[in-house]
Amino acid sequence: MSNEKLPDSGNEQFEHPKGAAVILAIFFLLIIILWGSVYLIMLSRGVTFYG
Amino acid sequence: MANKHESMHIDPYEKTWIIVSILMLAVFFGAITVAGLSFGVRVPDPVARVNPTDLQASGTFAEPGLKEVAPKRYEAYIVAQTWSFNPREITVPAGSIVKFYVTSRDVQHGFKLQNTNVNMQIVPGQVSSLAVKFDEPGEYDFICTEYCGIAHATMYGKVIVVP
Amino acid sequence: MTANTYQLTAKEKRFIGWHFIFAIAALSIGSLFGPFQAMEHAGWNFYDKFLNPIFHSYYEGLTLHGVLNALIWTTFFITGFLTFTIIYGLKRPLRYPKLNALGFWMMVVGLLIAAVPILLNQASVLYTFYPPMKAHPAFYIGVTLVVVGSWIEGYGFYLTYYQWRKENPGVRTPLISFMSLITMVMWQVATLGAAAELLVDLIPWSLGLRAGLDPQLDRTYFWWTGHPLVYFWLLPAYMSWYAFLPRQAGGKLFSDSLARFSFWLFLLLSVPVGFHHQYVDPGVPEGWKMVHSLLTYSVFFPSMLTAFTVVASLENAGRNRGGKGLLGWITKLPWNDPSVLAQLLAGILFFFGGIGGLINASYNINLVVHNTAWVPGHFHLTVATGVTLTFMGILYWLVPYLTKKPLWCKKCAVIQVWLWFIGMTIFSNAMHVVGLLGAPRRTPLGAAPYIPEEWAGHLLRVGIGGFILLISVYLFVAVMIGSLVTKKKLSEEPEPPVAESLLDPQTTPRWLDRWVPWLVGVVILLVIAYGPQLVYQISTAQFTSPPITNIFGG
Repeated sequence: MSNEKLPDSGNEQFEHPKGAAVILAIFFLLIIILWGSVYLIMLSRGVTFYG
Repeated sequence: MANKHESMHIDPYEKTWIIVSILMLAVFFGAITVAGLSFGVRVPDPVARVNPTDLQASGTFAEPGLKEVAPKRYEAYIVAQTWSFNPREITVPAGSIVKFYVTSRDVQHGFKLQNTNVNMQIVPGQVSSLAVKFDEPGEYDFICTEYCGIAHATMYGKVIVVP
Repeated sequence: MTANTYQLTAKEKRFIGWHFIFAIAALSIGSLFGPFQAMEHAGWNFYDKFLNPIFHSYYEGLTLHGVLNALIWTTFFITGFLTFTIIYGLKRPLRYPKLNALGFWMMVVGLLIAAVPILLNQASVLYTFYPPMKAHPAFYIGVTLVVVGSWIEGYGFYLTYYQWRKENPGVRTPLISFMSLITMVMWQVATLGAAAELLVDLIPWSLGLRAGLDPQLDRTYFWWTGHPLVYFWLLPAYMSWYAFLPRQAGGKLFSDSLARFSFWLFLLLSVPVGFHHQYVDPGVPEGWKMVHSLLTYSVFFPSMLTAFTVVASLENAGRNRGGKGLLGWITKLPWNDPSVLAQLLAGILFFFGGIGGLINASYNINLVVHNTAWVPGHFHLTVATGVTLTFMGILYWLVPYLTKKPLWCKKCAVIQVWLWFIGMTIFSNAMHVVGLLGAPRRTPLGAAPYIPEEWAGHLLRVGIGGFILLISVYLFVAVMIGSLVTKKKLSEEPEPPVAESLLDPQTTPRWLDRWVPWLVGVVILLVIAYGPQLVYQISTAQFTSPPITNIFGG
């Protein structure tokens, strides 16, 4: 939301959280796999509405 | 108070994560909507009200059981009560579509037809309804899935699908 | 950025400590029954053999487990912890300490009043107490007093904040106090549903003043409270992950503004989502279920933000400790500190709890899991691990702070945390799997006649996991008691590990420290999400369900 320069944050080097990005990418894959597999179980158990 | 750099700083990686999260949720929401509206995996919708202490007056639940409404199309009226279903057993031929109507005479119960998507909360005063098509012959248990008193674990019934 | 030199008085510490004594006592009794249920599933039924003369039934045990663990342990811990974070964050005493004391003792009285009928098997209605199954009126009255007591403690927080604001115009509310206030406001909006259910319906009905209820309407009231209840548990844990854990691990909070933003979203979105617990209810229209499904998806979003910010803060900590490479920093985190370990492992299992929650919330996918063993499998990852294990981790530093005594047997604490993680992984995985196969929740499966052969292995794992958790919980209680009675003293006052932010909080935008627009948003969303259905369900209610009581056995 902002492109301005980061204010000085003490004597620390401000690094991009690469490791966090990797962990969250793994998390993201797990969400897709687990959510997707239960979604498929639902589809395999048939429909509940016949018009 | 000086607010020289008042801004909501968001790291570019975090920005990517935000976008990816929103996209994922949008895709999932699309998938369940398609499954509901296009495929017909629907959740219960209000059907009717009854008086749980006077089911005789309700007409349809006065005599619970299976009613054939068209060839291979049935309606099953089932009353849940502590600690049994009435009727306990129904028999239909393979290929039948059965629409379940379930209500309770006393406390809340559950109605889950195993290995199908029929899974309903049974609330006194309301009628819960979902349908299922039985393609394969065999026995399908329907079990009470809501705590309804000390012998809740023994409360179940079955659909027998004959060839 | 600010030196945390503020000290709580001995009296304040004692007051907070009493909250934890009741919380831990509730946990130690309530947790006895969880493993007994788990072991029942595996075929080892202790209820009939040993417990019967004192504890009358599986469901009396399950009611104790749910009420004491999910309602009492959490509420007492949270009000105690928030008392600390309000005072310590604002660096001033409570404005009206007697008001807070009144709230606390009202909670205690409520607990005692509710405990009597539960222990007499006259309130074996579980912690959801769905009518028309009726408990003894004392149960409903006791629960009401606990809730109202927590409200009064909340009023004490608000008045304290109001005074602080007058004394500190223009200053950003300190993060921990800000988060505490949001948690409490959210709780007070959330509990309006249960208040309506208890005061208008259940209490008069249980006293015979009303002949019948409409159970569907009461489910709607209940779940107005029931879902945000989990956020009431969760937000203090998130506060610990955001505002304490980074410091404990040796780093700083990655983003103060995103932390605040996510808490505003939780306030906004926690409550108007209750119908996602009622997807398979007969009396709620499909369209409204869909609306709440969308809103529930929205409240998942701030948790995704939290995941990023917390992991990034931990990365900052690990790198400060010399961690190199993409993931090498993970090994540098202080895994041997029981408080940090508890929160890290809680966070790992909570990842999976979050995924399960998203599955539950996904409208028709709920047909697969509703009222199956999957659901308790899920919330044992969230409330019983993400939250409870984090609370244990907090107590591992907060109790030494309050008592000025060292933690007794740090090694036991580390073992306790690992046992919880291992036990819960086994238990919860088995519960999820057997739930997908169709096993119902809240059911003594050893007595069920419809159990297929293929469930047996999973049910055995449920029992094994439960047994490991039983050891873990009493190891926790032992560490707590040991720390309380030990004669050893810390030489100097320990400092609470409040994390600094990478950026000065004063640079956080001012709109993240304004209450009115957000509270207006809360009201608008509630009117949209609940207004039409509440009007409809109340105006068409049929009060035809008389109380039913003779079903508890024992």
